This record gives sequence, C-alpha cells and structure tokens, in this order.
Amino acid sequence: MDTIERTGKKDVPVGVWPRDDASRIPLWVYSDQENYNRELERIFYGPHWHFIGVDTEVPNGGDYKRATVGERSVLMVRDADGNINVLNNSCAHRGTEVCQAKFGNQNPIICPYHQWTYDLKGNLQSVPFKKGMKGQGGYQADFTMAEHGLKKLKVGNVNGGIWATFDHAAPAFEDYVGPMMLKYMKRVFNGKKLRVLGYQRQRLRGNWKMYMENIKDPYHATLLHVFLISFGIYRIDQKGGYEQDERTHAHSVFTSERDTNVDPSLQKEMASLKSNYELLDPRMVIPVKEFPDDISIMIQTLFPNIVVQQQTNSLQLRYVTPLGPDEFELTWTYLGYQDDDEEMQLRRLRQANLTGICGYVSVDDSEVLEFSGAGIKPNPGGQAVVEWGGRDPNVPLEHHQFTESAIRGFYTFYREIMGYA
Amino acid sequence: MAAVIDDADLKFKVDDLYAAHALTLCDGDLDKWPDYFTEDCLYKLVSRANYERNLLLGPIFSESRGALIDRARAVKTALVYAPRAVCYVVGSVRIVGRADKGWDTRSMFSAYQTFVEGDSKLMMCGRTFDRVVLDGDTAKFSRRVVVYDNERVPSAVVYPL
Repeated sequence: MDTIERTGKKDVPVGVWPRDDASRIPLWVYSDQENYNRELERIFYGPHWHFIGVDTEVPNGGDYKRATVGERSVLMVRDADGNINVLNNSCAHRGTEVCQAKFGNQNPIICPYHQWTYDLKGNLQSVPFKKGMKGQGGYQADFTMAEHGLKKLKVGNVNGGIWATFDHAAPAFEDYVGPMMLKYMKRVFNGKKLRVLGYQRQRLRGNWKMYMENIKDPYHATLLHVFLISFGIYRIDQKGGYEQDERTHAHSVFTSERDTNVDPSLQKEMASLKSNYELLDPRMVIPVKEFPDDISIMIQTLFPNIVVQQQTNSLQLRYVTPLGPDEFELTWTYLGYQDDDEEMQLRRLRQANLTGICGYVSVDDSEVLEFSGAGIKPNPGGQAVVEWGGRDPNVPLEHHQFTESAIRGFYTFYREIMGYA
Repeated sequence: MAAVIDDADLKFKVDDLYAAHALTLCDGDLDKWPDYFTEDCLYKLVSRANYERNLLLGPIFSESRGALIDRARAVKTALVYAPRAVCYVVGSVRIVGRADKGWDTRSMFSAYQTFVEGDSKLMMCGRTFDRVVLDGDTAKFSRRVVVYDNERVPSAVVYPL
C-alpha cells in the first residue's frame, strides 16, 4: 500500500495489459521470453512484411544476398528469368544453412553438407545417391522431390525495394501498407534505379520495439538531438505533417520542412537547442532540393520493424532484427540512385555522418535506447506512460506532432495481434 | 609485397606518429586528436564488408581537419552517450610505398571499450590504409581509412579511432 502511494503505480503481472488502451505499455513486453517467442511466431513469421534488400544488389541470374527475417537467415536470389525469389536459408534435408557468404553467385544452389541441389526458385533438383548404389540403399520409392524444396517466402517489389513474408496468406505488400504509406514510400522508391551506397550494422542492448517507438516519437526528437534542432533539420514547431495507415494505426509517417527560425516561445522548452552552433566544415548540413515537395525529413515506420527515411539528401532503410528479448540488431542500408552525379553521391556520403553507428544524431538514439534497455530489463512490473497528446491512437485533426499517438497506434495494433486486447 | 622503405629516420617518424596517435585515443584527448592530421586530410571509417565491395559509404566521412575538429567538439558538447574508456592497440605499422608528397602506410588495430559495469569488451578490430606526409620534421596523416572487420558493432561508436 505504501509502495503504491509512493509511486502511484502498482506492479503489472506478466501477460496483463494495465489499461484498456495503449496509453500504458507494460514493461514485461520488453523482456519476457514467452512474449518474445509469441512475437516471433505471430509477427516475424506471421502475416507481416519484412525488408529484404533492393533489386540492384543481385543484378545477375544466380546472384544472392543473405538477409534476415526475425531470427532466420533468408536468401534474396535472382533467377534465370530475372525474377527475385526469397528462400529460407535452411536445407530441406537436415536444416543446414545452404549459403554462408553475405553475397555470392550460385546456380544451382548446392548445400555444402550432402550436396542437395536446388534451382534458383528453391525447387529441389537432385540429391546424390538417390537410388543408393548397386541396388543398395538410397531413398524410398515414395520420395517426392517436389516436397523437399527450400521454403519460399511471399515476395513484394515496390520499384526495386524487395519485401517478403513467410506467411503466404498475408495480403499483398501494397495492400498491407496501404495507399497513404505507399505514397510516401514512393518518394524514395520512386522508380529510378537504386544504388546501395553502403551498410552499417550495430547491436544494441534493448528490445527491438524500443527502436520503432523511438522513430514514432517526435517528443524526444525535438529535445534530445542537438544536431537536428540546431541546424533546423527537424524541430517540432516546423511546418510538417503526420499521417497513419488508418486501418491499423500501425504504420505512420512524419514529415518536416527545414526552417532555421525558432519560435521564441518554444526555445525555452528545448534546452538542447544551440542556435549559435557552428561547424568548421558545414558541408554535411548543406542540402540541395531534390524532391518535388519541400520535405527536409520524412521518417516512415512500417510495422513491424522497418524505417524508410529521407533526411535532406540522405536516403536510408533502417531494419530492426531481434536477437532475443533484450538485444536487437539495427541494419542501415544507405541508398542513392544509379543516375546520381558525382556531386550528389558525395553529398549523400557527407550527410550520412548525421546517422548510423557514429551519427551526430543517431548516437543519441542508440545510447538512450541502451539506457532504456538497462532501466527496463530489471523492472518487468513497471509500465510506460504514453499519454502525451491524449490516450487514443489517432492522428490529431490538425496533423500536429505534439503527440505520442503514433506509439499508441503501434501498441493498439500490437495488443490486437498478440492477443492482449 | 611492396618493397620496404629503407629509411630508418622516416620509419621512426611514422612509428612515432602511430604510437602517439594511439595514446591520444586511449587518453580520450579529443582536443589533441585533430593535430595528427593535415588541413586537407581525408578520414574514413568503413566496414570491411563495404570496403571489399567498393561501397564508399561508412559511419564517418570527413574531408578536412576542420571536420575532425567538428567531430571532437560534438563528442564533447553535443552528443548524449554513456561514459566509457577506449583502449586502442595498434601494431604492424609499415610503410608500403611512395605516394604523391608522402608515403602509403598500413597498420592493424584492435579497440576495446569499458563501460561503467566494468567489463572491457572488443569494440572493433581491423586495418588502416593511410598516407603520411612530413610537415617540417613531423609526420602527419593526410589520409586515414579505418577498415573494421566486425561489421556488427556493439552499441554506438562515440570516439573516433
């Protein structure tokens, strides 16, 4: 009783959602192993879509790239017809990973262990000693090759962005994200041939969902990040937009237009704002207009674990893969277009200094998420308070960003599909 | 294998540059760090996987000493991060060839970091592909390309290497 009075909140048992809305998040969702197993089953291997790569990473027949869905390694493979297939990287014979290199070319795909051999669509072509030797051994007469292919994922392709899901009952990718999200996504995936400029990968000690919340959280963005707000790249008072997929509340997008003038009434709220911050070499914060609109930042989150971002001329896919309940990997894929001139390519490299594992903005996020991981893990009975801007998951009528409703949107959907509603 | 440059004085200056630079990193002396570079230096941190595929993008891309000073200043005044100590171990320093105005050099490194919980853990290991020039009597980096093997890096990389 004393404890309750002192803290105002009592412990929430595992499996119980503290309120009948998403304005509270029980902290056990970030650490409980059983909940994590259920996430793998229902979210990562269920009817939800994952980012695999871009088509130009595998230009020729037989080219493959390893990617990850949940904890599973998958292969993005270009076949002889030019189609891209996504196959589970686990041999149908004994479960061995069939391809070990990050990138490679194989045709056919041969498992190194017993040389089961698959075509580029994942169909089993041949097995050694199928009939044994001299009438001895081998497979039984009812062994059917067609039953022993590599597991195939359902594939989506939006202007060269490749997506996949293990669940063939999932809606088509375009229907899954919906027309509003597709419109914003196609600002980056606009039909021009993409070029991968590089990857960055990091391991963070926290739960994978924390990263998605961080990206859905304009509250922190305007308080934590000296670089974003001091150079006018993003501030919550700037002209901008906020949209959701209205059917699910689970996908959302924030946009903002660059403006270095700060509303004086807000300056006192933003302690990190350094309006006189100067750089000796400011090239990384000098943008050029590239898109038809004036959006300087677009940050889009697609359920469960994908971020599509345009930060002035830096284009990125951020992809979160879980490594158990307490750790996740963040993979950054930096994009440009094949027709970028040298100056634009250089600009994208310079602006990439703001994000990634050493990013002037992103270091803040990575570090704070580890602080969150450390604070949350030993306190599974606690609950997060997410009621800035109301308790509902909706976009405000004015589309302003002074709200945590995008996080509430994520958890409204999460509760439903995880069975906690 | 490139011919070894047979110049003991130059070899000493290059070795000393690498050693002094490493000690400055271990000391966490961010103010001093840019002093090891020329005004128009190029500094890149890039994963081995990107480097081997000729992908240009890495976590750090700086085209001047000014940009290194900017980074040092941001680490000191702007970024939010947990306190940590970095131990940077350098070895196998070699002059591998003559270059325009200087020499191409290489090294190997491993870097460990220690957080408040106390365990020291590997942060990165890899190789550097550099260019050294003489500024008067002092050797400086006019180019430093740090290629790290472990492309999945623990936490964030706050201090430059």
